[in-house]
Amino acid sequence: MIDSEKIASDFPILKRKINDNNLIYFDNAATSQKPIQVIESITNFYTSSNANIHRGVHTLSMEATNLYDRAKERVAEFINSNDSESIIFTRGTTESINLVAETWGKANLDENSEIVITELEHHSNIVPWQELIKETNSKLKYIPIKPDGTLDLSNLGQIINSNTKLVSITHVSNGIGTINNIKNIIKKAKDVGAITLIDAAQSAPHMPIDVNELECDFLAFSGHKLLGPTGIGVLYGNKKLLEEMPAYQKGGDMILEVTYQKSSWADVPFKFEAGTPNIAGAIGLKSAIEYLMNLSMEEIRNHEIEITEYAYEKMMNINGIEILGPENIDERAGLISFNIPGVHPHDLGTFLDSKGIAIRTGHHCAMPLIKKLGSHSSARASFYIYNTKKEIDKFITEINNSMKYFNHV
Amino acid sequence: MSNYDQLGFVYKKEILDRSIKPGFDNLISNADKLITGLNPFCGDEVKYHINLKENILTNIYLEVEGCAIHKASSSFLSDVIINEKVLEVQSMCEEFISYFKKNNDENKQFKNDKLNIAIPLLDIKSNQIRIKCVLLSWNTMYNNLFSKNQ
Repeated sequence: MIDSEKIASDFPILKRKINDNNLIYFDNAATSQKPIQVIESITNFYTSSNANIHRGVHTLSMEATNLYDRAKERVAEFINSNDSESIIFTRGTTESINLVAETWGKANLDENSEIVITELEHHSNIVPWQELIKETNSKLKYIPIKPDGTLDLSNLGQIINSNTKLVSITHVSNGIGTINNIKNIIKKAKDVGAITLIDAAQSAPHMPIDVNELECDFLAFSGHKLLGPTGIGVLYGNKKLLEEMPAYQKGGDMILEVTYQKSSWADVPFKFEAGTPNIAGAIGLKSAIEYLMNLSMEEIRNHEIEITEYAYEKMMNINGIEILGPENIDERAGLISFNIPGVHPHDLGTFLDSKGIAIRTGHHCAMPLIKKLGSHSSARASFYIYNTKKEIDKFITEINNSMKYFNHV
Repeated sequence: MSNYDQLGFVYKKEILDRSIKPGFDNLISNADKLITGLNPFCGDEVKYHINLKENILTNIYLEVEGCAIHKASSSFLSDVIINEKVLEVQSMCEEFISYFKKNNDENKQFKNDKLNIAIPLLDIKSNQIRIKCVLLSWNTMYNNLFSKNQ
């Protein structure tokens, strides 16, 4: 059982006042707040153990290397991977996806190839493929959505076919909160011999992830959305695929041997980690994952089901509200995208900010999705481990107040 | 500043009033020029149907959708430019837009007196994200007044 109020006390920023109000932070899909344990892990690294890794024979370098390598092991444990050498540290989900597009994609796609994504995707899982198909003369296809924001799988057998080489799909939509049945889609992809990539940016922070059970080839997520620092993310990859893939960025650390004429590459995963990595970020990520695993990812998901259901029911009582995405709470992550009559999302966001409430407004880096659902923009509240029903009560009250404020009621 | 003061700093009464009733809602069936603007990120949209006589904007029909600040700003702009020569309109738009680009916001008096109608919008400069809501209509008018019909 999650005790959100107790958890909130670990987060220094949550003590802040915003416009004379206690901060209510409902923008976790954009980034999460950081517990003191994560902040201190980074500070401690810079205070006591800062050095470059995998190079020096001095004490500090060995300490830093040890911390970095332990971070990889913890990530592997977090997603139930048997092998920490399948874990590549990147800057985030966007870079992870771009890495696959630039390396696996360019080496394996041609004019007969098809890539399949969905209409739910974040821009980072659309734009790299749009560019890749131009370079490889391949095709991009979409699994469509139904009006309720769930995937329409009725035609899946046609969309994923013998030409499909890659299926890259989001586990949870950041735009409207839909949880996809990725296991089913991964199986369909495997049946035709396609590679699979899962965008777990919005799922890894909020629910258990098991790459062994999913049997996906790649999985990507960002540290900053799961209590970790910005600038660190993960690409999990099937090791055999990683070994076959060309290198991504080239330079220091990713090499085995360099002459003036040519170079050879280091083993996986180092082949994909050129230059000095975000060592402090990796250490912060480890601390974040440990914080979450201590709470249990199942309990975190249960907590979010409870407060999202609470928020959803209260919001449905707001006159004229339009909530985007699935009604069924089991198909919805802890995120509610919505529009209210007579108050544009940006005005609502500014109004709520004056009451200390942080939400996101706009297209949420999912312009095609929001447009398909009939809007240009929406308001989005996204919850996490430190959010409470009491905060939701205030949120509902102020939404109602905003409607009076902007409509002279 | 208390939260209501902070809100009222941005959403002055005139802005809220004009967002509900932007005005200039008499349909023009024979517009000489149509000027349109859209912010695809948020859906703020504006259409100015205008009549011109001897290079003077004699009539405006305003269609506007979007946030309260954008709707109010489009309304203020209409009041500023009605019955003005096109060259004067261009100059006023430029002066208004440049206010939001300047670092120094002490001087809130405009060279063009008629721009003072739009003074209630100026405090929105303190809210960086909402500046584009203020400026969409003004940029649209400035960039398209001399172009061929859109």
